[in-house]
Amino acid sequence: MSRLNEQHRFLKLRRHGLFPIFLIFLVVVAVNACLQPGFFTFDVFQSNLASFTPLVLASMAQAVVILVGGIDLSIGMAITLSTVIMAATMNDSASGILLGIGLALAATFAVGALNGLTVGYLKLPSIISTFAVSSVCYGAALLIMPQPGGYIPSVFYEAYQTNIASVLPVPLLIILAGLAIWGFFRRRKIYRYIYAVGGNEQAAFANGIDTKRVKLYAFLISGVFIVLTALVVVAQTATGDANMGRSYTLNSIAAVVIGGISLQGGKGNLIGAVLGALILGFISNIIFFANLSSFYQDLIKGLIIIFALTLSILPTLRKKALA
Amino acid sequence: MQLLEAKSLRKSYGGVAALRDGNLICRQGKVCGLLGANGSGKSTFSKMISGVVKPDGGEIRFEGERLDVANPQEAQKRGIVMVHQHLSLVPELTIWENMTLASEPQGRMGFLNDSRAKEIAREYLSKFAPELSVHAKVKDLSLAQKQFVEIAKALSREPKLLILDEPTAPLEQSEVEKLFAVMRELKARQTSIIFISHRLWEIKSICDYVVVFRNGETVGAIDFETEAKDENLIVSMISGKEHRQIKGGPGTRNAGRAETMLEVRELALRKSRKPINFELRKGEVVGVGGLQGQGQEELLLVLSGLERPASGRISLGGKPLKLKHPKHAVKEGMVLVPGDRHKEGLFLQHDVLLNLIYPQLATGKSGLFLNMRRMKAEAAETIRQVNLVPNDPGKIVQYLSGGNQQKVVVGKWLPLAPKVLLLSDPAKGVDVGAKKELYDTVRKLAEQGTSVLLYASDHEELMEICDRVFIMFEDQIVDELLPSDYSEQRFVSASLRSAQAAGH
Repeated sequence: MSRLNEQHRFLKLRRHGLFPIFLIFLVVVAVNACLQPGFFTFDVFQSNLASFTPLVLASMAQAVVILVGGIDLSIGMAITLSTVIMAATMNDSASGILLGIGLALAATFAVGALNGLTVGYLKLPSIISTFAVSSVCYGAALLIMPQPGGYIPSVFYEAYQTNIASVLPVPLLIILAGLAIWGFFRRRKIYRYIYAVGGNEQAAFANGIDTKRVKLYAFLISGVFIVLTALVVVAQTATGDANMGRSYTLNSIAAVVIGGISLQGGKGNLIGAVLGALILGFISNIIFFANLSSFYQDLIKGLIIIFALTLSILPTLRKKALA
Repeated sequence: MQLLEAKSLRKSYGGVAALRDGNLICRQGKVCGLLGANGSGKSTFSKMISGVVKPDGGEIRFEGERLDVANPQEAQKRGIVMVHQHLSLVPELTIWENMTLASEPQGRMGFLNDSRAKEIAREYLSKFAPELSVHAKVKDLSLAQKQFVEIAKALSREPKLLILDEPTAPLEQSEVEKLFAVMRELKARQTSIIFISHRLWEIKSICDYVVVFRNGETVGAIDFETEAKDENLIVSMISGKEHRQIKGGPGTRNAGRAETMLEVRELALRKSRKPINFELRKGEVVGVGGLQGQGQEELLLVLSGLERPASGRISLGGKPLKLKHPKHAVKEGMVLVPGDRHKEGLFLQHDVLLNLIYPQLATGKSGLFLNMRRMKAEAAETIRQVNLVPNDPGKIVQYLSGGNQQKVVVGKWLPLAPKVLLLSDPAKGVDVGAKKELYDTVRKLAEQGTSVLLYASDHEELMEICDRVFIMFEDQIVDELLPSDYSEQRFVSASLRSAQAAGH
């Protein structure tokens, strides 16, 4: 009886949407462990985590938009704009720090509102309109800070290296905070509306959901994660640089898709995006520790990503063949 | 008692009038049948009442006051709920999530009360499908189950006026009865219902009165409580023409001695199923019937190269076929009119001309440049043959009525002079008049030597035009009926008797 139960539980696990992603995750962790010396020591764990966290948060921001059926090409530049604002306005005083964070929040929500209005209310295709917004953000960031520089109070990077009660690294705490924020929304209407609009917009509309507003809210919720990402980024780099955040845009999309979230929207899970971002981080690690010549790094990385993507969509392919 | 009155509703899309003059009165606690051909404006009309579409003009009065709803949610608050023909469910969400979508029960501080939501879902779903778990994802349900979820969802909003747009299309007889029982229960509670259907027997058995639409206008009404349920009158009101028979019905020609066109040997649709054997003669129209979902559609998909069988041999005109890709079937002249014309048969946003020439582009006889003059001439000829209305090759297919869209799907194969025409429930969602024209075209093709294999979910259609009919059950052919056997009873007993026989 208990064995049957166990088998049943295993089958249920296998059918779970995150199962293939979790397998890929285990594989990259295993390979990484072989290549990276001292992988299982706390120090390495902490430094890996610290370097993966920005993409994890950026991927959560991207996931919210992709779940509602859009795509956000402005994420990288929105992060940049936030970091530049913080670096340009902060000083060591508590009021200076709060001012910097407040201005960054305001700017990010303005960007989210612009995205939400253009995609939701003007019904522009998000792949183009967010690209345009990305350019707006870059321009604004350059205006604020034509050269890299600015000032980030040392508490940021000191805090980022800290372990609370010497076992809980702050980066992990921030990821958990991100998930908790999503957990809050999970118990609100907006969460279900995001899936409904992404899954079948016409049906959502026919049910009486204000689909435009749902899209706007999705971009605003995404903004919360963008600000979190920016905070982590300045804690790592300690400067502002208008040319810094570009890579987050496409990497976050890749992470989201590897994480099993459908680009068509309405399908997937934010945990998947977190795993996807961690997988990408581990892949970068593997390339680095495999001592490959830097000429090959991007090439190999691209191929591995294609491989991981294929694995992650394998279950859906198989289901289609059966149907 | 009037619950709702709609007067002179109008709507056009890009200069094309979808509704010119829509009028209707809903009586309290009665079922109103809303009838009309595809494209007659009844869907547009009902969407206006439910707030999905905004009228260009006219007036709706609900409970004595002017109703001016801008969106479905407002209509729902006033007590008007519509079950859409193209279902408004979100596939990735569960049944209970779908059923409470946009009316989620909330607890403290606006947090969702999911356990209450599940209770509501269970309560209303149990009327139709008590065996279904509310935790199932909607994408895993059959079409009939989805329809029940949709109707149960509408009921959970406790409507005063319920609009059902072709709710019975995916349902079997027994399921229709279940729906009717619930509808009678609603009537007893003074709920008004607008019921849309193409099936006359359903109209006659559940409606208290009918309102007929034609070409975007209300053309008349029949009150069943005081007037007779005259089927011929209804049909002529819908079509605007006298009821007529299909030209050249079964037995008008003797196809029995013609040469064999298609030969199917030892074909197993699935592993562990007994194989199918049959042949199709030149110019013969053969039907495939039986209960729904017994492998009829799969058989057609296999023959058209869209699906692979577990095993078996297929030959056409004595030549063995390898069907690994639809192009193989098309090249040999075996073509499919698929079940879902929107998804599999048409390029909706393109014009008629382009839709008609795609098969020729795909079969690759076009050379370096396309000979558009020749193709236009051929398209004009095809449009004439299938009697497309309007006969304009530049018309965007999306804006044609369902029946005319289906004519385009059939017509695109005509220039290839197909040897075998496979039809998968071609009259589904097609109105009475267009159905007759469609089958006229099919018979004409048969007379010219094309062999036809027709699956239809409606037995009457099969009896009207087939030279013989196979009854399928669990992926096998279990019976064959000839015109002398044709009767509704014989069909049902053949389908069911075999069901009992196979069920031991």
